[in-house]
Amino acid sequence: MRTYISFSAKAFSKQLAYRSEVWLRLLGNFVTILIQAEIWRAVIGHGHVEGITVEQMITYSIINTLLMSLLLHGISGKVDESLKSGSIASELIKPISYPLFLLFDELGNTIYQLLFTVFPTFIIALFFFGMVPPASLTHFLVFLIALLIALIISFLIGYLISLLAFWFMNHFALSWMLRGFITIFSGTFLPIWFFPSSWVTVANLLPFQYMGYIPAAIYLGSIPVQELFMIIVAGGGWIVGLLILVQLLWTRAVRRLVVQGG
Amino acid sequence: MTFRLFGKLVRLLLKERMEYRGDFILSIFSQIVAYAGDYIVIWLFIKKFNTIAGWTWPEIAFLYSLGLITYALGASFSFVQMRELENQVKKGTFDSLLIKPVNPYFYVISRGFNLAYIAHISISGCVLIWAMIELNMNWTISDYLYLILVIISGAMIQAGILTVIGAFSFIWVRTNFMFTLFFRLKDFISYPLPIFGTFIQILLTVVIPLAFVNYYPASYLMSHDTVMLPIWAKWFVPLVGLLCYWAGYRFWMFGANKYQGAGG
Amino acid sequence: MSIISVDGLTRTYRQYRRFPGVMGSIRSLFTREYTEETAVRELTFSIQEGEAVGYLGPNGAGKSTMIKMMSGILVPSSGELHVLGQVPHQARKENSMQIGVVFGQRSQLWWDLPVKDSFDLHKYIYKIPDATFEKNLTFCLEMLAIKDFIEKPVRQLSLGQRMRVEIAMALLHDPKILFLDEPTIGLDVMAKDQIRQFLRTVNREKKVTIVLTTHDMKDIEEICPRMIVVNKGELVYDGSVAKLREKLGNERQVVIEFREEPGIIDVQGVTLLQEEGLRKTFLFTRNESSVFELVSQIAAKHYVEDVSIEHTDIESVIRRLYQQLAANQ
Repeated sequence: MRTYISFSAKAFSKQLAYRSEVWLRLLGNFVTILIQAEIWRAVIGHGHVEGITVEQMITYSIINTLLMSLLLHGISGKVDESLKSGSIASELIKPISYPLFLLFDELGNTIYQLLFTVFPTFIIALFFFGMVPPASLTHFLVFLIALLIALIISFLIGYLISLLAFWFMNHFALSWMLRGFITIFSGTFLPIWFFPSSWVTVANLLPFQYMGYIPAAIYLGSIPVQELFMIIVAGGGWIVGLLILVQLLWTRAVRRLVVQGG
Repeated sequence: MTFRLFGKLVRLLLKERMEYRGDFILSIFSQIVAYAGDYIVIWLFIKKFNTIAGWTWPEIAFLYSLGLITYALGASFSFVQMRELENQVKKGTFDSLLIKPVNPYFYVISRGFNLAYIAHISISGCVLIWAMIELNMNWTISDYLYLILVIISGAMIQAGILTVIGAFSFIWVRTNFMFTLFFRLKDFISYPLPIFGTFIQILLTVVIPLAFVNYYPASYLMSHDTVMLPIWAKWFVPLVGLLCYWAGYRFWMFGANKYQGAGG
Repeated sequence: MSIISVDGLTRTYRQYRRFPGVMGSIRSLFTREYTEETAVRELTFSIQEGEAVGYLGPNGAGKSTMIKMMSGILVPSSGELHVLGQVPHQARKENSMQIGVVFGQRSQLWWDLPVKDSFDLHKYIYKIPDATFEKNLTFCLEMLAIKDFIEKPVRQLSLGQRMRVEIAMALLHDPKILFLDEPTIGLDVMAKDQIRQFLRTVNREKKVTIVLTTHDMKDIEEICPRMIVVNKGELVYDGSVAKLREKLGNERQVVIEFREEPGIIDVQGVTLLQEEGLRKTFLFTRNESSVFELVSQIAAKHYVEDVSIEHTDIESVIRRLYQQLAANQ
């Protein structure tokens, strides 16, 4: 375990080396929140649409923008690179679990983002835009669990993409395609409660809503208490499913690597 | 001579891409999917709220497409080239360019000319034409000519800004996140400018003149109220385009000189 | 008239400081400290047309910086530099038509395209007349045996093949000077030999002036009659290889293995350099007496198991020079 934590620490301090970027990143997040806040002000104004006020929508945008900085999306590029360059072989002979190494490496990055991007952005956003408090204590606690699920799912999807790329096509193409789906179905910008019903059905069949819509909706209390349990269980189900899929592809990929001799 | 060199390089680039034909076509397709996602979100949004600041779906589609097509044209001459510059400077591969009897700026942008933007151009071009038909505008020849001028100018504005960012590589500044910031700022112009406060409107008109890429020209073409500028200001668009591109080029050359160590 | 003249040339760099560790990284968010490094210091030399000069020195001696200044990539901080009668960075484009530059570790080729395409583009950029191009191409193809793989994409070539192609390309436009930055780095013995032979021919027969940096003394021995040695940006030797050998050749390194600990060796002209148990390395200065005489003096007093006298090939001459430099500091 200590070995893995040291990977996180390494990734953390690597990020730290990029000094001036911290300020730019904060500015970038501020811009994103500002754009969305202005859009919601333009269409909702002082009233509310389907019971949603502009304050709630701004909170929704802030949560989603912050969550985006935390998600473990860097992984797919990393695996792809080591598979293609063959350096994967040297990763595999180390007495560590490669997926865990990746996870902790990414977590180091996430912790960095939490401290240097998310926390300051949160303060700035609170000051400039204001946020509504969580709907209830229960909602807040479940929100924290949902955040964890978001992190894990983003990691697994990234991992899956990089493994798929190993067989089918270039990782670049898959990532772009994935981006298209995430833009729509994570609900990061447009919450799923504003979707037409047929689109809601599709969104519910995909795991992407856990990476944006669900945590924010829980925080705002748009999902009633009695449904929370099922939502979390379903999230856990997605994790297990993805985990099995990833494990399966991973063993195949390694076997293929061994056969090809790297 | 330079234009022929550009043609020569593009031929080689095309040949290079065709070495991995399948990959190339696939990445074009996937980028179209990604941008379709962006369009769909805006479409879903307007389906729900009807208009944004009085702009209907075809109008927003026109605005957004104008932003995307000019970005694709400008970026094919700048973005990837400028993003890679940091690495080239660090690894010293930029040096091999300075030993050639060519203008380094021109060589960099032609050598890295990005054919993959055909994806952005096709999807935004199609939506643009769809929106024009949908809006049923009675345009004269001069309106169409103005549109072409606007597309070229918008491309020059974006290429100019990206070139300025890339030039920072020469001064040992990491440029990666500056590019990300540019893309965040570019999100502003996906929507009608008046929804933002005065400060942002001034910022996007004067400091980082992205509003000239699509918002001002689209407003004139569709006779929307443009709030900040009078009608004759539509001729600012090509001026701003030239100015941005010229500034980008000058700053890049200044950076390259600095890299060589002239006076610093 | 000299084709390259360097007078009091200096080049400094700014090195931005990075702090180690997590706290250090946080610190570098706020500061921008830098140190001024001198890569080339007050260098003066000149090279005549048709010469082949080996430019060498330990890592960080400023060899690449010098090549970059001479090829117009970098601007000197101070001093005078003229290549083909011009200031290289001011007449960068003009000069580039008359020089060829090969960077050992940086390819200028199109990775996914056949070698031929890179050559064609080169012809176009350098505006090489058809006849000249054909003549030079034939010469290089034959001498470097490139013909077999000219239709292959560059990514499929071995390192040795690629280097041959790089060198050939640098010569297609009939340059007057050829700069090579570590042209044989990472190559196997066969490939190195081929390149050396070719460069020698280019220098002797085509009268192309050659300046090359290297870590491999064999390159110098086989291509360059003259060498310039730099250390920490300063000139430490400029002259023929033979002269340097003579200069340092007065000293010999001798390794003696004793049967038992000899204690302090007190023989005129013998200095202890290094000891690993009973195996000791001495420096013999042979002014009056020969190495053999000195060895027999020692052997007369102590039990000597084995003696080996280091060869004075150029490699060890240079090593001696570097050791001397290190000792003087």
